[in-house]
Amino acid sequence: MPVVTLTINDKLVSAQSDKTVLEAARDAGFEIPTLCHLEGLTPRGGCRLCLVEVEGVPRLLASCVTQVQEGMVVRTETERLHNYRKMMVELLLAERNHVCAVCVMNGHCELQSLAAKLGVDHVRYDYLCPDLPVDASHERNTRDPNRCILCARCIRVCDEVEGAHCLDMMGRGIHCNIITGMNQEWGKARSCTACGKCVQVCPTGALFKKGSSVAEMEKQREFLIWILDGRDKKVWHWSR
Amino acid sequence: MAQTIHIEPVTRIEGHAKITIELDDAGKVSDAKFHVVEFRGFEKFCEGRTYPEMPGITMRICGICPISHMIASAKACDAITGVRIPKAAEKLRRLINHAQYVQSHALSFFHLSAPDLLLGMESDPAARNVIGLIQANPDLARKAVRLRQFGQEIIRMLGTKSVHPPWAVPGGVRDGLKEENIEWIRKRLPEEMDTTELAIKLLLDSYGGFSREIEVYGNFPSLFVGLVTPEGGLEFYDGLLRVMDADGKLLEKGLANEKWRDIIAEAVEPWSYLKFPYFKPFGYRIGNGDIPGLYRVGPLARVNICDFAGTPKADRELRNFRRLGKEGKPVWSSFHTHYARLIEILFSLEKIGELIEDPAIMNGHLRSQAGVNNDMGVGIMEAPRGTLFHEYQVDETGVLKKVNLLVATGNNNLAMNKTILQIARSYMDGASITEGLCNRVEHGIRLYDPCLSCSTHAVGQMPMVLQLVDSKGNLVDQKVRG
Amino acid sequence: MIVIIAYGNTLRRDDGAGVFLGGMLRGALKKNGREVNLIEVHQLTPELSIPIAEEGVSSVVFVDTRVAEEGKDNFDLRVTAVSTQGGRSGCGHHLDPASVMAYARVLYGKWPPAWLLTVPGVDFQHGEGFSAFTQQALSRLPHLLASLPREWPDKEGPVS
Repeated sequence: MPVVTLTINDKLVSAQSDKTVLEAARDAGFEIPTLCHLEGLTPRGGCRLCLVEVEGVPRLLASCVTQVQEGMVVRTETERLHNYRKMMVELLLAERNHVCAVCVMNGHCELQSLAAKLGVDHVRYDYLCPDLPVDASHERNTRDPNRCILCARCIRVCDEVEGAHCLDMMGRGIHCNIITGMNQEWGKARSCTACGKCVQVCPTGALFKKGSSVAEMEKQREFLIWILDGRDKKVWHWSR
Repeated sequence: MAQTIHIEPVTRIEGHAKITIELDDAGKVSDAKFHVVEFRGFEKFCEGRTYPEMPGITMRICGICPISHMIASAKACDAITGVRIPKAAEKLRRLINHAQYVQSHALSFFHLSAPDLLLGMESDPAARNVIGLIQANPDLARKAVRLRQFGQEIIRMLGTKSVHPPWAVPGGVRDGLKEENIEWIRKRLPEEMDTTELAIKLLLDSYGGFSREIEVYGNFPSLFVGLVTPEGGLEFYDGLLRVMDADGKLLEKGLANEKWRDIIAEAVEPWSYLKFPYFKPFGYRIGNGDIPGLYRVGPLARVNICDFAGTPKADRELRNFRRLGKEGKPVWSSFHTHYARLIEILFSLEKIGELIEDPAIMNGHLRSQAGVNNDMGVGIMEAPRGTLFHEYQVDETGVLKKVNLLVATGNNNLAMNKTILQIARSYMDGASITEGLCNRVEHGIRLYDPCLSCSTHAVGQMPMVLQLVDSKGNLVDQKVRG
Repeated sequence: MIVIIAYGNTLRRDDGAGVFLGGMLRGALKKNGREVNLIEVHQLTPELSIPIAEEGVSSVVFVDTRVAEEGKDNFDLRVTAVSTQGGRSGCGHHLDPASVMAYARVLYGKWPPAWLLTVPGVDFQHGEGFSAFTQQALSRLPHLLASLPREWPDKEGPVS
């Protein structure tokens, strides 16, 4: 694989030519926040938190779906980017009903910790407070669209790793929602294998183990990599 | 000319408590109303959530009795699943509840009521406060801080390892005790026992100066409601509902919890958001005047209805307490709630001692697993200030369809009104409001240790405004306390 | 060491602004190289006098939401000095800052300078997030700190 050289935040970085800007930046020790991205799943570019500035390109690019190029000049930390990232998190918080204090994921949530990291101390937009019913019909897991940020990690892991494709997305814009089994109750969806991978990759409290109480749910996201390359690396027992 | 006197603490939202004392044309007190502006929004807030989240949600709503809500909620959830929780989990839940009694009653008695009791009701409010009390008796105050800290520390050991997680969960509890926790509790117990016994002595020594208060601070016949053990003993965590009338006759000896609606109904008055529960078989109001179904809950009721406490020191005090009732009847005067509260601290300390010496409490099996097996769950427990009811209806997947909470303060609503009326009748002098009257009304309310600040913490923090208004709504007199 | 005691109910919108402001204040003071012990509680209780009375505590800041009424409030952050002579308690379960300070003074012989910092609140419904009034006031913290003497809260000075 040929290697290219690019500049990230004034630092010369070399990377294999099939890498994304996000991967190259993280390898070089730069932190770029992400929510929809998860190692082991196809990049999606949906959450827009990984936006970066690339010299010569008028618009901002999602680094998780932008391939590195020779001579590229990238900035990952500018005031403009910080403002956009903050705005994105605020919009996510305003769109659904994220009441952290009484959420099963309180203290372990990716959205919550990102908001704290970005200094989101208040939300400038009106809360939409949509009326979304919780689906607790599945024997093992519960889906709460109120905490969902539509990152589609669940859909991708169900399709790409488990191969069931029980989960999908329906509707557009503000009416967009995650569905199970072609918009049936989860408990009635025959394509669900009850493997629970969707729960483990969900960044928020939108998918959780049934019966979890407030702040009790913790997720094991690293297991995904083990599923994918444990055999190659001869790691037979997964542990954190 | 009929007049109305408002005693109005200008507060936030809940605990927006206003007291109106109504005068008739002759200038005599005719009625007293304790207005509570409590939004019922909380029950709506929970609907649509899954039931296992409830202990965590309800405990966050109230800063004063989070443990009570957590336990009542966990019990209602247990009932939805229909499981019996592991023995160790039950003992641990009892332990945290007793610890809560210690800290809550200690706050009520030592820090809120003691200034009135030890410095006098009519004394200058500038001196009749916490500082006056601790200056008068710093040793007692230091002990009181330690007693509260003892209760808080046990709660901390069990309940709050991270920010605010519900420790009691459907089917049991999350964590157990460590050997070093038991050691710590064991070491501190004798000191806390001494503090409580000292407080009882101080209270009883001061009784001589309060004969009039005993006569008029909520001294009226009423029903008493609370939980008892199946054998009729004092019970805080889980028991049968007992109802006793003013003469000591048992109207309900031991009713199963899920039948609570057979005996309790809730009335609504336009002037208060707090509901008015009453004993259903006796009805709410026949014409004007007394409400036959009026009942009291809390320390006074619990100590009245039980046949015995079940621990040696509490039983000794209970025998002494019984002498305060006239002709073998239950104790009527709410002023004796102070004594009942101290007896309950003693009982809780003794029970804590029993629980930590029981090897079963260290069993590692702490949580039973089950799904939805009933579409309704009732959790009734005794909060420090009285009986607390949680009732949840769920669909077959466990999503809450209806939530009904009947809080202890609500149960005492009618009794508090009647107590204020009694105090006003006895201490209202002319058409002006004295400091003494204010103190007395406040003390009368404090006897019930109401959880007015159920959701926001600032109740009473604002200056209290007293208004004298005539029948046409003209302001005749006004007094602001700060 | 500065002790910050921030209190309120974070599930009742603006009522939780005091707790939030406590965190902001800690951040601002730490940036200036100050040592801070932040205590977040639902309400004030007597045993809070214990951390106040600890060795090396130079000052105490209580942070709370105040009920703001249109026409009667300027909707800004407000700092007032707290007496250590004791306050009063109504029929609720809380103590006021002056009572907590009184406990520390009489029981443990400590009375570091104490302040009450309040943020205006208007919305006390169930839920998280703050009203526009409260958000606006919260954003004024840097202005407020700039207007106070450099040594605040350890040393007294003109307060708004």
